[in-house]
Amino acid sequence: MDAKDQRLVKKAIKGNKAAFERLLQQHYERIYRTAFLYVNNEEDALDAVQEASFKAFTSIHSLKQPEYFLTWFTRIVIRCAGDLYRRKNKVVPLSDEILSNLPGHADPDLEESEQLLDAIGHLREGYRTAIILFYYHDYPIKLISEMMDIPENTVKTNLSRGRAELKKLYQDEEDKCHG
Amino acid sequence: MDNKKVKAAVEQIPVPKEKVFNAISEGLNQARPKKKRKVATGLTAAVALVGITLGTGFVNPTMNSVLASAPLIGGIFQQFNDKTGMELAHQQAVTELDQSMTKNGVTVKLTSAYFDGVAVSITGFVDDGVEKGQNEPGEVSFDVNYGDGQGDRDSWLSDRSSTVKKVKGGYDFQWKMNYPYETIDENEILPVTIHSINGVKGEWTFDVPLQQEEIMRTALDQSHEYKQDGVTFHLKEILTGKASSFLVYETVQKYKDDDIRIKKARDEDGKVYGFGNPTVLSESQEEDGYHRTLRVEMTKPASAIDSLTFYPQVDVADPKVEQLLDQDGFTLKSERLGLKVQVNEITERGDQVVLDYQLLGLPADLSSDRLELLENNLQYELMLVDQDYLDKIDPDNPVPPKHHGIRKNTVKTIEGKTAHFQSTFELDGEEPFKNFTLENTVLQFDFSNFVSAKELKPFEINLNN
Repeated sequence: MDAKDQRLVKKAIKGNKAAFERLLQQHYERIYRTAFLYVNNEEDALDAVQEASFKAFTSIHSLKQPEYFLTWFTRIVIRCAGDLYRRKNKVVPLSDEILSNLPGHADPDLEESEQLLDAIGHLREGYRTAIILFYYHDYPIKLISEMMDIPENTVKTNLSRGRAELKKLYQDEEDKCHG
Repeated sequence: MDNKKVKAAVEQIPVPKEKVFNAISEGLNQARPKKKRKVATGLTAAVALVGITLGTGFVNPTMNSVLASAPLIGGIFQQFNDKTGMELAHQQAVTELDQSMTKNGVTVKLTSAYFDGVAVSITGFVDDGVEKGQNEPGEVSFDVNYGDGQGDRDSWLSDRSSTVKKVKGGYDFQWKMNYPYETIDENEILPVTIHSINGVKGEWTFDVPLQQEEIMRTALDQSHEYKQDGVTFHLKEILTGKASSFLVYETVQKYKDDDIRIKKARDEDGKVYGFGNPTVLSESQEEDGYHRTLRVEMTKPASAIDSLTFYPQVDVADPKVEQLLDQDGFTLKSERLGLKVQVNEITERGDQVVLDYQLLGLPADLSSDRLELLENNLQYELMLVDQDYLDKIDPDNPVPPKHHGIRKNTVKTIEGKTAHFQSTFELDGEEPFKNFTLENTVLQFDFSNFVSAKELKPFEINLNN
């Protein structure tokens, strides 16, 4: 996080709404996509972003270290999106409909991306969170363990089981293609 | 698997920037959490895919040849990643505009318009006079109306998306929308009134000629009925413009609030077709049920296809059930889903109310995942409400009335195998329940959140009818 961002975070902690909004806008793609990975549709992902923004703003005074703003907010997004995912119990796995509408459909690498997203969409929540934070956000295991309040070993287990699950889902997809 | 692959995959998810910004801003400004965002179309579960590259049929020619034939206009669409626009520019089917107006030191210039089938785009430029407005640098927001629309009721606004790019001396912008009416006039003048930009007031007014490009209508006129589910689809026509396609269909449904949608379609060659957000063209209640005519953007069909198989689904809306807590035990029944809640015991213990109950009608042998989900849903789907305040609950935003209702409860699983649970409500929580008595309190239960949307059997229609 650069000095300008740090200043914004400090302002936000003091209750400056415009600074807070600016910070979230800077990271809007990452925030939205993280939420989307749980709920798999735009409507719910936007609801999760809205709820996370509200919750974060009402509790930002509790953020002690400005440099952890983004990890702190990511954790809130994951909680809100996860809550929505469980509450609704109507999880639509990434469907052909969504996948076929991803941009750049002519890209030969896209098929693999589609399978990967689809597989992530089928993972159970704990595995999914570990995979998203580790592979998409690049957070180290120690930080994930702090963010999710779970022991490092559990993060490692979730990661390795998540990976195994992804492999299995890939395999099923391959079998379907060839069978 | 490596980070790069995951990142590349995740980055394929399209991000609706303006909507995300709105969600952030609504979140920061809302007085209380869980305020439901307004859904423009009124269709609650419609998967929002507007603004994405909805199969425009544009694969090739390469960008360079597009830009070579339409350098200026094509370049505008390229920066907005609007493939319909690029394709139309390539076909010289974009109207160039040169209308400009200055008010209070801010100049707006409209530069182009297209009207492909029902997809409408207007592009323009606003100079850096907007920076004296109230927004942060880099942000431009318009308060604008189209047609004769007034304020938020403007039908053009319901699915409009807007994009802004910083350029030298100001900002380029694009507004995209779908033609909101059922019948489409061939040539139309669309009045545009910008009331303010970044809070800078003024009336910037323009008349934009919308010249509708040639549109091909493929009549379908075929129906498919799902008797058991009380749903009929009547496929009316496919409208195909130069770069985009739309499906027009009517649904007749027995249950007004069921959410019915077509998830996808597939042609005889296996190609999958996606659908955008539907525009509701008309709604009425008739003898045979609730009628709704919709028009939805779809992947452009390949020219030589003979049939399309549609994959619909229905999300059943089961009315909430209610029961006064003035007796020891009772059973709540879902009208349509074959589910029941059997309340065995209600205990009032100091500031707590404890409900002991079983969910009946669920599949046997619930997996641990499914149980976890159930437990979680139960936290939110049992609501206690003071019966004198029942009529004060807004049906669109059914939060419990302050101090006269409780939503959240703590769930404990007594026995997973028999779906036996206990819910504990804290009467003295954040918003204490005033004057609570069991005799005057109603339990509300929403069964519809305990079943998933039902996939209906796909049906095929002939395109050469």
